[in-house]
Amino acid sequence: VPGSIVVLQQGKPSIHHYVNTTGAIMSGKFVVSLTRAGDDTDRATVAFVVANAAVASDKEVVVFLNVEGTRLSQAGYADTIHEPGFAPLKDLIAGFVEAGGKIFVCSPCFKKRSLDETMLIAGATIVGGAALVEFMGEHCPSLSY
Amino acid sequence: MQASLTGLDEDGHDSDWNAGDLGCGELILMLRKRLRAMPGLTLKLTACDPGAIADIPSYCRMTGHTLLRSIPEEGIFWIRAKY
Repeated sequence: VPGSIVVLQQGKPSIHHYVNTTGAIMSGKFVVSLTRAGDDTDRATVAFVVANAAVASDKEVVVFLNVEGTRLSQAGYADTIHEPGFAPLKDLIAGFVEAGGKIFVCSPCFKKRSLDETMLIAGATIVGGAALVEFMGEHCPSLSY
Repeated sequence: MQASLTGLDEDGHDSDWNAGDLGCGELILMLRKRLRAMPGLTLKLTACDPGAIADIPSYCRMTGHTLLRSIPEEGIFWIRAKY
């Protein structure tokens, strides 16, 4: 890929960096932070629309579900959410995961709401801050909803 | 914390810490303090927060402490503190 840098880690190409039009080095990673669920279905939906655009653009994408957004980690929760003009949220989430997107679920937010680990949707992992910080590393763009 | 300079005990660690249900930033910050106080020694950490399974390996990779082994399903991690 023109303008790309492949970083070798332990002899294996594992991280792709890109030089954008301003000369900045980009990691190829992308984070969408989502703090809403049923309390703001518009934001919840658009967050996954953008996440799908990012994963379709060959980015390594994490949707970080935190605060109220953690409720979306529960199987069945998104089934009734369908914003006018958008695909149903459950389809957006499923498409994101099928395309290789990852979902991080904020551990303290999850516990505060007494959510159920056995009900996690596919692609979701409960994490604390360290896993998110490691994923973002340097030069990782992010959006918050 | 009961860090020992005399060697590992029968379970292969110098000190142990049960962090209970601490998680996320609280867990990492207290872990950092403990590891800094015992360079080169091994801490057996027990953390039942579900996020610890992903967080502890990430924390070790980022900071240079060595995750020697773990039993993720039991929330047990053996970490050798960097010098």
